[in-house]
Amino acid sequence: MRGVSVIGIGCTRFGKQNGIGIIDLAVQACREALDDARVPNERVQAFYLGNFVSEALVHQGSLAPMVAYRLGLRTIPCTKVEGACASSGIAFRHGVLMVASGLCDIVLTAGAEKMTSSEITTVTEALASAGDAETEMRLGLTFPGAFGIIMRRHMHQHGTTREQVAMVSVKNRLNGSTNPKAHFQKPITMDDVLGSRLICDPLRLYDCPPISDGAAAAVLCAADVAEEFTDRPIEVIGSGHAMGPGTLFEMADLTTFEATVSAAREAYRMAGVSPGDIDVAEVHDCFSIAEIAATEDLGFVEKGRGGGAVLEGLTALAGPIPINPSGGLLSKGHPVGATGLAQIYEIVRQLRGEAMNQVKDAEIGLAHNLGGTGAVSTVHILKRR
Amino acid sequence: MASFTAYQCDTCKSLSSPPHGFCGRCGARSLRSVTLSGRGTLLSFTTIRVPPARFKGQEPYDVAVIDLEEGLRVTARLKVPVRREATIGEGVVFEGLVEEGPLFRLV
Repeated sequence: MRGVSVIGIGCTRFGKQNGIGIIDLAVQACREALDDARVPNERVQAFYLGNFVSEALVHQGSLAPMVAYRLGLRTIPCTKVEGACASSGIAFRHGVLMVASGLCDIVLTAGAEKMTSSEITTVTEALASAGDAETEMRLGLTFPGAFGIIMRRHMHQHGTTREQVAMVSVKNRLNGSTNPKAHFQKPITMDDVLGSRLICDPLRLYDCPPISDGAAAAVLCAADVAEEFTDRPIEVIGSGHAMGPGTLFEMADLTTFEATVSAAREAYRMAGVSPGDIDVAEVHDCFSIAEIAATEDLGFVEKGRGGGAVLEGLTALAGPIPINPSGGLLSKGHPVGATGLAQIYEIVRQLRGEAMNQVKDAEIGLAHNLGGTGAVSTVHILKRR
Repeated sequence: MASFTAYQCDTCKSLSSPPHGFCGRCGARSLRSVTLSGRGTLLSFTTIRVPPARFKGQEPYDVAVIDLEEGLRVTARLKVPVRREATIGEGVVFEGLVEEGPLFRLV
């Protein structure tokens, strides 16, 4: 397989973007990524777009060719990828495969979601479609509900405390306070989290990310062609993509996402690195408890130690395993289809040495995206050349 | 207490519910319905306070993951009496099928 580099990135501001539709959001991020890469339109050979609920929320299908055409691309294959909240992690993965296989030299990947123009109950229902409609969502289970169940179990099984879980939100909101693209840019305290209203016990409002609009994009290029465009390509050294059970009752352990474990194993093996080699990570904190599970499932700490790790500051910006320096989903927002590529955006900036919350001398970074209640996960490992 | 109907694979003996026409573990097509006791324990649960649009008005309601004593794990609605808190590991019994799916209550 050929080496694959990221040569351009783009990301819109995340938050409520009145008057800007989903196609324009995606076009903004893509334009920024293509300009950053200094790649002319005619060199782009394929386009992958991650999106989850555009049909349900903004009644827009055929999204990939619509976005590509408005960008000025012509005739190339355009594919929309859906994997719930991991949609654009998968879009990025397919871009990597196209370049690695030798079929393309340059591929544009993006993710986009428009969520704030819908009512909260409509958004909740649309997001719930990532679960199993026939067995669990028919019960009235929601996504926050599923993670409430997982959180209660994690606390029971591993002795994780309410304060440890809340610390994820406190840490990520602090990181996000200096990110100009984040939806929430105000730090919060432990008391704010513990005093926020219950959504799905024991999960509270500040354990959840905001509902946001946004888009992110990355330009992928064959490593041996990258120098034509940039003197600072970022190499994709590992790519993992795996499935797991999409329901709670089929999980062998309610505190472990098999999809994450499997995707991480594949990515680490391909990259030839271990968790201890990762300098910075963006992980899928769709709820505060999800970051704790991911910290464990990715192998940064042992199962059951994720809560202690965050409260002790191990995953803080200045800690030995900085996690979610961008502010994560909890602070940036979670326009679901855009999230996977927004994580890549942050890791590329970290490895270029140009991030807002720069981790000193970051050389290897990891991006972890999770869809559904663990139905799908992607893990990508990137390295500075 | 109502009895709980599940499906057992003739080949690998694994239990499943609801039925899918073949065994979700080994793929065999020969399944038979078995009647389970309906007794189990709470693996975990939550109280939904912000429901999806079509469940609006029902909140708050509880959803639980339950380990039945025969070894089958199910997700179900859980009836919790007012002024009573459920705890993990507590016994539950199957009360019946409601519109939303299986309903259990605390013992």
